[in-house]
Amino acid sequence: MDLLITLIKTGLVMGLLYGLFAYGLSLILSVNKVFHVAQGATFVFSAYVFYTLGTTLEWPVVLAFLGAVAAAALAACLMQYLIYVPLAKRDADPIVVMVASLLVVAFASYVIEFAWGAGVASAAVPDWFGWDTRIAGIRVDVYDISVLVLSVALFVVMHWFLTRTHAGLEFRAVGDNPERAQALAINLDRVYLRSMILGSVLVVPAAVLLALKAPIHPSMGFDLLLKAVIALTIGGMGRMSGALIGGLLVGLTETIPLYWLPTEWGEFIVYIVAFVFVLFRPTGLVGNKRKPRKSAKSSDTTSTSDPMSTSGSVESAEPTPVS
Amino acid sequence: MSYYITSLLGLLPIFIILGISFNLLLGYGGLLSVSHGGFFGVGAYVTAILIKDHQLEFLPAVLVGALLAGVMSMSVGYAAGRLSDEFLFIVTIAVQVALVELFNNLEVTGRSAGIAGIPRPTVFGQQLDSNTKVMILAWVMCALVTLVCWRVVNSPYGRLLKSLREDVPAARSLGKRALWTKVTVFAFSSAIAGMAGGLYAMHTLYISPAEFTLDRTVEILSITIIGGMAAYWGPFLGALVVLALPEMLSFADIPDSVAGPINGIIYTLAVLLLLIYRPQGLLGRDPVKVAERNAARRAAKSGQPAHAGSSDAVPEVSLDLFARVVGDQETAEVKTLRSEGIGIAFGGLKAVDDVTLSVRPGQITALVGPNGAGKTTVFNLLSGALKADQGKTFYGDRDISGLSIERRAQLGVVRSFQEVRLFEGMTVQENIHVAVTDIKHESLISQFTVGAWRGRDEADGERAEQILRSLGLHEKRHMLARDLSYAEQKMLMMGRLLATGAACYLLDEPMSGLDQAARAQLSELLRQIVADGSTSICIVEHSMQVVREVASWVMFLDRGRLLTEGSPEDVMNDPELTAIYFGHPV
Repeated sequence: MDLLITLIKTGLVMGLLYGLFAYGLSLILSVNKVFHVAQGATFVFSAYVFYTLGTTLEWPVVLAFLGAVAAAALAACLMQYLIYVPLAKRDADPIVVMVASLLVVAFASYVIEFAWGAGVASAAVPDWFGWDTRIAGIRVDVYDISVLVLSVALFVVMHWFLTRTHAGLEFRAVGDNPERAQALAINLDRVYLRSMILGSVLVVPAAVLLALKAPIHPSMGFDLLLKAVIALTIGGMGRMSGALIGGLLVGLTETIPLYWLPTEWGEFIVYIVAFVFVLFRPTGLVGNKRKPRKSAKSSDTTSTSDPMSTSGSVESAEPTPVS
Repeated sequence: MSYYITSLLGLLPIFIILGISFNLLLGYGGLLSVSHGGFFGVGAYVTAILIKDHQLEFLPAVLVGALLAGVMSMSVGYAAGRLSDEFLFIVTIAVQVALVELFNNLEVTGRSAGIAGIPRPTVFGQQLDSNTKVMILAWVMCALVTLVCWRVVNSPYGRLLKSLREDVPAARSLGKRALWTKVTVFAFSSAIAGMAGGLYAMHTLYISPAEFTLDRTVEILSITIIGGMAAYWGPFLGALVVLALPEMLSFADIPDSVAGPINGIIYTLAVLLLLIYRPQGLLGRDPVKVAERNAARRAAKSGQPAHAGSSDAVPEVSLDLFARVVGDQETAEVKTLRSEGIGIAFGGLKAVDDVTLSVRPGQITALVGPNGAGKTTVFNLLSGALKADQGKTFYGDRDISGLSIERRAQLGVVRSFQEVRLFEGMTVQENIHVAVTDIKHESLISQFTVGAWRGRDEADGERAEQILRSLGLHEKRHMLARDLSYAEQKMLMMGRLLATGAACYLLDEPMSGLDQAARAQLSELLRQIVADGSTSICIVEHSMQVVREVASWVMFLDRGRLLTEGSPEDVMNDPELTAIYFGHPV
């Protein structure tokens, strides 16, 4: 029984971490309409910057964290200007954008392998990070608590930002209808860049926490990215709450079956469950099924590029239900 | 050194096969699948296990491997038919990782250690006991795959695949089977990848899960992109680049630990640059040029001068020719499309409520009403794009309420969209050619039957040309549909519908955006179509002038209900309806 409770706790913490990773993905997806797979590259890159600043150069953790934030922001600017803007300029197919994004992840893992070596690297961990306590018989450590606090805090802050601030409302306006937003004198390029930066920075807490918890390696971006993508799918694309709920579900799906099965099957189960889930409920748990409100224009152009309104199936990608 | 060259030359055909099969999906089908490396692995494992543990010969073993890979990938194809690109991407990633996890965890695949000591293959009782012989086997299979795929790409099936890449709802509205086509292309492509896997196992004689991961898929993706999406010979060059690059680096004086990442950096960067600055890849060519060249070649074969077509092309639309296009269809039995009490609700909103109507043959019926009255929704219900919550729809005596949009189109009920929805990246000729082709001749298997070699498709092509001539678009037949003017696009759209040979046309605002002259032409065409007495047309139209000109029956829809119907004069002279339509108080 203790084992089951421990597994559930592990699953919850992992799930929160996936959610933390998926926030940025979700934001960029809903605003920029880009399936920013390259988030995985940003993630590894910021983890390695944190490692170099905090361990090799022995900066304090807070400064190293800020350095990682700066690195993520820089990576975001580079990707936006070197990849997404040129592709958008020639009106590239969404598939091509996704391929490019995927290639960036592979590219980054090679660059990191080149610069830092292919092996694992362990970050220096401050003393206070090793503290732990027992709650109801389960070991809870600083990592668990930080993941919990950070994911909830970021969720609340992002919710506040998107619903209460002017900049956040601009984000949502652009996400909902870029042409109309532009007509209201919102600078699209600026909003896209900002959301790319903000979305990329959102991944830093996850990167830093993971670097403190376990050794890092160049290809860790893919692993976590896939889980986050699946979390987003299960939870519902383009929503913060979807990312959080989906993350938790993925975490639990990964750990709870291990009570009955050998450890190595955890991953397999997650991916099979995700496969079946996407097949039968592509809108996710939080997604809504049929959206009556849709202009003829958007149904024409976005059958592939707008994950919020196509809701996945061919049927609902049909034009205007109400003429 | 010779050993080294043989080894490279043995690997090259395997990568070419992978590239060709992936190009079918990404290049021709527009389907981004990230699970190709996994199915490659399925083929490799099955072949290796059958040969090592069950002492099978190579050919049966690799066939089983390819078959299994094909069958397994049908689930992915099913997903591709139902989901949008992002979701397909996720599904295929999930499948990719799940497959590698399977290889890693199953007893029979040797877990993470993989399978070592695979015996050399035996073909027809003869063991291939040297690398050179295995290499020759790989090249022979590569040549076979190249031939078969060439046939597939340049067949009605390949054209259908391209049309699905361009616009799925439009293809379905012409009666094309989207889901099944995607399932078959995934199965076909993955089976070929599985075959490549079998060859790979024979080449290396040792396989492990690490060789079939996402990295491998990215490599295959790179082969296709470097060569050029939908460029048939692209994978040959792409495979050469991807294979030769690490070898060239190994000659440079750098340590092995750095050579790996440098190789990765160079090729991912090269592919990224290509994607951004030369999206058609190294060998990709302008589809217009390709179409012109093919036409010239065909003309040369049949002994005509290459550009004979352009001299006798009709500059202006000739109405007699319209009649010929229309008259060509044999007159089937006369059928009426009617609905009984159909309705649908979106959330709490009743978009269409209890509508009973019939679209009678030999007539042009106009569906009018203010914006938001539910006209397009009625069309969506009649054509099968939406399923009605209540009521039934009949075509002739047949209840078609439960049929999908493509089944209804096959029966003869086709619809157009408010937007033109051409297959924009295909040529004008191909747009019509797709519609002319019967779906029976579009399956993968039928490309290899006797009929397919007897010029069946050429006959369809000839018919497409004839339709283009009568539409006045013959001169522009090799242009991409997206480069036509708006009026020409609308004409082409009508031609594409006519080419299906349907007997009932639902046209959603066919006249919008056209000037007086083009409108007159189209009106004349519509009148010609119904003149045979068995064809029916229903249009949604906002301009009362157009309705008066073409329609002989008018149905007035408001807030989802059919208010009245009658002759144009009766309906339009009703002050109450005019008030609703023009928004004046009664």
